[in-house]
Order: sequence, then structure tokens, then C-alpha cells
Amino acid sequence: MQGMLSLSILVGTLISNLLIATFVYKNNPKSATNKVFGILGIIISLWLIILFLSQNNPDQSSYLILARMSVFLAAPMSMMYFMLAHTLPHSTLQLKKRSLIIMLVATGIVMAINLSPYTFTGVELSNGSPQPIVGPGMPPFGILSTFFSIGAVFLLIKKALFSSGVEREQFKYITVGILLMLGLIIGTIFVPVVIYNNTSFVPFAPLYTVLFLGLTAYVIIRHRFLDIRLIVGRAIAFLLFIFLCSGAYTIIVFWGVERIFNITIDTVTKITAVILSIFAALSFQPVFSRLSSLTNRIFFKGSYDSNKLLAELTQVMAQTIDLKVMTTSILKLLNKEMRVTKSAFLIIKNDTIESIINVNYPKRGLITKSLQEYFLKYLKRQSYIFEEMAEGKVKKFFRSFDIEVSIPIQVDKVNVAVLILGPKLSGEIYNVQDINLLNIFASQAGIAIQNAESYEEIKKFNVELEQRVEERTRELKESQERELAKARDIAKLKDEFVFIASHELRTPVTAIRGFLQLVESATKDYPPDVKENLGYMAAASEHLSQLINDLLEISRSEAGTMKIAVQPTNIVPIIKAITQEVSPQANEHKIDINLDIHPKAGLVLIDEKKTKEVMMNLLSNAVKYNRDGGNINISVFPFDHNVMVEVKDRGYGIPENQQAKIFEKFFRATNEKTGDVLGTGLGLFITRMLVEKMGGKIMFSSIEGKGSTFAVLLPAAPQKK
Amino acid sequence: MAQKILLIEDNPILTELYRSALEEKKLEVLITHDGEKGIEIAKNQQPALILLDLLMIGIDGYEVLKKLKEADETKNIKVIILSVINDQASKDKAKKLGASDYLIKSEIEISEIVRAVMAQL
Repeated sequence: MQGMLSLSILVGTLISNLLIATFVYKNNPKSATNKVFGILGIIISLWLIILFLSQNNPDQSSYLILARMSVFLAAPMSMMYFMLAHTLPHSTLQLKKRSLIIMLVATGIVMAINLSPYTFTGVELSNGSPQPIVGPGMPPFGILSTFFSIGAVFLLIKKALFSSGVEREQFKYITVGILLMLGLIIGTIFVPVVIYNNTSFVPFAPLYTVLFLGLTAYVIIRHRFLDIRLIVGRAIAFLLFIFLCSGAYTIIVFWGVERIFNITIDTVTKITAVILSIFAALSFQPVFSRLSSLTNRIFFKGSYDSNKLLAELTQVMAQTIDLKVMTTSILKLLNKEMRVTKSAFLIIKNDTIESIINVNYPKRGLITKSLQEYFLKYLKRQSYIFEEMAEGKVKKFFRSFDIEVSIPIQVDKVNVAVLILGPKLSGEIYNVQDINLLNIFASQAGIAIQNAESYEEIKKFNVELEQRVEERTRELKESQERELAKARDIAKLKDEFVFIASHELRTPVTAIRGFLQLVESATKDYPPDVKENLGYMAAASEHLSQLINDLLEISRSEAGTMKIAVQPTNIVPIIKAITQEVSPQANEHKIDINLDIHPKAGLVLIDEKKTKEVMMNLLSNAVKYNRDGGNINISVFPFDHNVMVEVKDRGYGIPENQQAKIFEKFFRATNEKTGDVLGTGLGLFITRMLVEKMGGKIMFSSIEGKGSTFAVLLPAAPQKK
Repeated sequence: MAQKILLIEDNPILTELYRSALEEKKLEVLITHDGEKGIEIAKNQQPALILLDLLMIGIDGYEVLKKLKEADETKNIKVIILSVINDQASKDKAKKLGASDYLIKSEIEISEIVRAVMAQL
């Protein structure tokens, strides 16, 4: 019964120890600490098997071999223990090469001696149980193991005393492990056996090594390597699996074989077979990984898939260009997946914290002068993980701000940002998976943040540019409006001036003309030169009066005060009257005026007075700019719901290069005749103005040297039925 | 290619009105207010049709028509007279000189002018 119990304890212990050793080793195979620990775990396990076999084997000859084997293994075990204490927590062996060689040689010699008949010369029976007889080979082993054990303990105590932070914690754990192992051995085995002669707890002894190894493993792994929960979870899963395997194996093989061949298989063979089956199962990779994922799913529901998270982070970085949106999304994603309570990005520009993107940190909690100081001194240089930091200023700072991890993000060795993470929701430390992921992420994030910053800059620049353009446009518009208003004011002022001036001038000019007529009519016997001068005066005053009238007309029109009242009017009498009016002048120059009026040209929608002015202008021009003995053709005919008035002269015409300007204010064509012609330069401008105000149209064509055609199209009055 | 119509008419309002109406019919319109230039254009551009006024400053329409029909390059170009003169003598004279049609400005709407033009094309 006790045999079965001790067997199962042994098997459980072996599996636990081997698993712990494997996991610690696999966690970081390159680290010397992990290697040494792995080897130590295996040696302990082997030693436990030997010990068990020696205790449960009544055969004396094999007992001697087993006893020798146990001391054979004990030598490297103590050496590895010392090496572990010496190396921890570094990843390279701290021993000098010479010391290492001496250690290895010494241990090798002792191992050889221990296997030889000199350590245990034979076996004797005391109280019915076999006891080895100690020979002369024992002292070297005693010295070696004492040296290594005391050395290891000494190193651990020294390291515990002189280390700080996490390391100190680690050594505390190891010390606790040793003390627990020793205490339990003393309390449950030594005391009961020696004092009460009770051996019922002896089979539990191997379990105590699990305690030691477990705690030591925790120490190694806590040094950022792996979450202990992962080990425990996987170990449990593996245990379950292995128990199933070994159970099935035992039943099928031993039970089946014993039944079929009717033989009895001894316990040693059974154990050996079971252990071999375990190793076989473990070395089968698909089973191993399948089990790992299964365990993860059961024990690590909160865990995340590194690759998936990284892919998501990359996607966020690729899809968003806005700095704030991107960084906030990243933080939220990290918080959610890694189950981090709070996080922040310090955005760095020219070694200065430019802004802080913050999720769940107190709004103003991070913004302090000390942050900038710590950034320059520490944060920009390397990653910090709270758990790994030695007690000191930085750790204190981290504690006060609730920072667990700080990772600098760089592009080409220039700091772009610092990622800051607070404690995890579960209170767990950041494990190797987290740190690996964060490091990969940090290497990618730099470029993304830089891109976003450039985009931000362009955006800012664009906005600035737009503002500037807007401002300039506004300024321009304002100044334009100002100018326009000014121009309008000036124009108004000018119009007013012209209007008032013309009005005021009209009275004296009328007086002058009146008095001139009086003087002219007073006597007919003026001397010829006086008569001539009076004629000039009359012409000049006539011109002046015409100019004043024209100016008045224009200023009235431009001021909008011109009154135009169109009504159906027969245009024929108007044309006849004007023709009559200009005929004296025409006769003077022997100009023949032909009037061709179509019988259907009748009622037109016009202002009679203004139409008279128009016709007067056109006809007097036709006379003025005609040659002596020339002719004028006036034709009036209906055309497509309008009435067309054509005035054709066969005069000098208007040079082609001046034709475009003839309707402009104060324009006077220059041809061979114009020198003799008095004019204001306002006639045609007024004419067009009036025609257009009446809803008509005026155009002309001219052939230089041959004459001009002026065409006026006026809207016909609707026919009465 | 659009067919060319040449307007020889010294009244610029009329030429503008004819032009816009004819261009609606996808015809290319050439304009001159000078009969002499009109003959030149007719020779160079070979319009499909000429709309010709009679009473113009410079040489008159009869003269233009005569010269067009005399010249080998232009004698086959159809000419429509478009005048304000409404008497048989003028019509006969124009027909004799080779005008294809004779329209009287005061008795016709622009749409009818366009129709007359299209009829000759």
C-alpha cells in the first residue's frame, strides 16, 4: 500500500520536476541560468528515481549499485546547484573558465570514485533493511558536496543581501525554497523517524524537491521570462494527459501482458516502462502543442494571440493617419487585449514631450515637469519594466505615476514617442509575451507616428494656408469694396457736379445767346469784321449750349433721373420734321436728302422727344460728316415686328480702327473732314443711350472714304386689330 | 462641313439678325458690309449662297450681282436679293442679272428668309 503511494508520489514529482525543468529551459534556451536549471531538474529527477528504487528493492546486489548511482548523481547535483546560485539571474555563466574546469574535473573525479567500490564498499543489513558500508572514497564526495552546498547558500545569502529590487525578491524566493525543503525534510522525515520512529511521511520526501524547483523556477521566470501561471496551467494539463497515457499504457501493457503470458512483472520494470512512455509522449510535438493550446484555452481565457494583436495594431497604424485617432486606437486596443488599466503615448519632438495621448490616466496626472526630466534622463534611452527595476529614483517615479512599462519608440535612433503602460487589470506582471509583442510593435510604431505627424503638419499648414488665403481674399474684397464705394462716391460727386454745373451754366449761356440775337437784329449795318465776329460768337455760344444740354442729358441718365416714357408713336412725322430741320444745313453743302418711308412703317414704342434727339443727332452727323454735294438716304421700313430706320451718308466714313469707339463718351473720329466740324463728342454716346433706354438697338457700318450706315431698330407698337 | 452663306448688306443690325437665324440651321455665315469685299469673299470662300442687299453705300447690289455673275469663279453661286425696294422693275432687273430669288425686307419675317435660303440649298 505504502509502495503504491510512494510510487505515485514519485511519478507525480518526477513529472512536475521534469516539466518545470523543460519549461524553464525552453523559455529561454540561450540563457545559462535556464540551462543550468534544466540540467539540475533532470539530475534531481534521476536521483529521485534511483533513491526510490534503492529504497524499494530488497535485492542486495542491485541495492549496492543503486546506492552508488545515487551518490554518483549527487555530486553533479550539488555542483549544478552551486552553478545555479552563482549564475542567477544572469544569462551567461559568471564563472571563470579556470574555476569551471576545476569544478568539472573535481566533480568528474568524485563521480568516478562514487561509482567505484571505494565510496560504498558493500551492503550490510541492519534492522532488516540494507545499508551501504562507507569506504575511503567517501571523504572527497563529502568535501565536494559540502563545499558546493555551503558555497551555494553563501552565494544566495550574499546576493540576497547585496541585491535590490526584483533580484532581491528572487533570492528571497530561492532561500524560502531551500528552507521549506529543509524544514519539511526535518519536520516530516527526520523528526518523526528519529524521535518517533515513524516512517509514514518518508514517501513524501520527493515532493519537497518539487517545492524547491518550483520556487526556483518562479524566480527565474519572474525575471520577465514567463508568467508562472502559464507553467502551472500547462503543467496541470500535461499531468492530466500523462496520467491518462501512463494509465492506459500500464493497463494495456502490464495487465494485458500479465494476463496473456501469465507472468509477473516487477515494480522496477513497470516504473521504467511508465517513465519511458512519458518521455515518448512528451517528445511527440503535435501532442505537445495541441495540449498547450488546450491548456491555454482552459486556464488563460484572458490571454491574447500575439500575432492577431500585432496584426490588428498594424492595421490601425496602416488605416489611420490622424495622429490622435491612431494613437488613441492603439492604446485602446492594447488596453483591451493585454488587459491594461491605463496607457499613454508621450509624443516627442526635438527631445521634448510635445503632447500626451492618454487613455485612462488621470487627465493631468502625467503632465508634469518631472516627466520631461525623466524622459531626457531615462525613458528615452531604454525600456523599463517596473518589476525588473532596482529600487531607486526611477522606480519611485514609476510607482508615483502608476507606470509599469515604458518603451521608447524610435526612428533612426531619434525619439518619436514613448509608450507608457499602467498595471494590468489582473495585477499580473508583464510577461515575456507582452514584452516581446511591445518591442515588435515599438519598432513599427515609430514610422507610423512619424507619418501621422507629417500629415498633421501638412494639415496644419493647409489650414494656415487656407486661413491666409481667406484673410487675403477678405482684405482684397474689403479694399475692393472700399475702392468701389470710393469710385461710386466720386462718380456720384462728379455727376452731381456736372448736373449742377450744367444747370447753372445754362442760364448765363441762354442770356448770352439772347443778347447776341438782340445785337444781331439791332442793326444790319455792322462793319463786315464785326458781323463776322458776331457770327463766331453765336456759333461758340451755340456749341456751349449744346455741350451743356448733352452733359445734362447724360448726368440725368446716369443718375437715373432721366424720364423716358415710351408710347405708340408714329415715327414718320418725327423723321420728316428732323429732315426739315437739317435741310438748311444740307442745302448749304448741296447735300441731297432722300427719304424713303415704307407705307407700313407706322407706330413705334418710343419717347417722342428722345427719338427726335436721336434722329437729330444722326441726321446732323450725316450732314456734318458728308462731303459737299453728297447725299443722305433715309429709309424707314417695318422689319420682323420692328421698325428699321437707316441713315446712310456717302461721306468720308469712319476709319476702321476707330469704328469700335464711336459710341464712347467724348470720342471724335478723326478723318479729313473732322477738323472743320464742331462737336461735343457726346452726340453718339447720348444717341445710343437713348435708343437703348427705349428698348431699341443701334449699330453702324462704315467704309472709309465711301460713307456710313447707321441702323436703328425700334420696337413696333402692337398692331390694333 | 457646314455650308457657307455670304451676307452682303450694309445694315449691321440686319446682318446680325440673319446670322443668328442662319447659324441655328448649322450654316456658316460670312458677313460683309461692303459690296466690293463681298465679291472678293465670294471668289475666295465659294459660299453656297449669297444674300445680297441692293441699296448700299459703296457699290450697289445690282453692280455686285452683275460682277458675281460675270466672274467664272462666282457665276454658279446662287444669289438671293434681299431689299427694301418693292417694284417690278427692280425685280426684273435682278432676275435678268441672275438672282435666284428676290425678297422684300419689309414684307418678310426672318423665319421666311431662312426658309427661302434653305430652299435654294
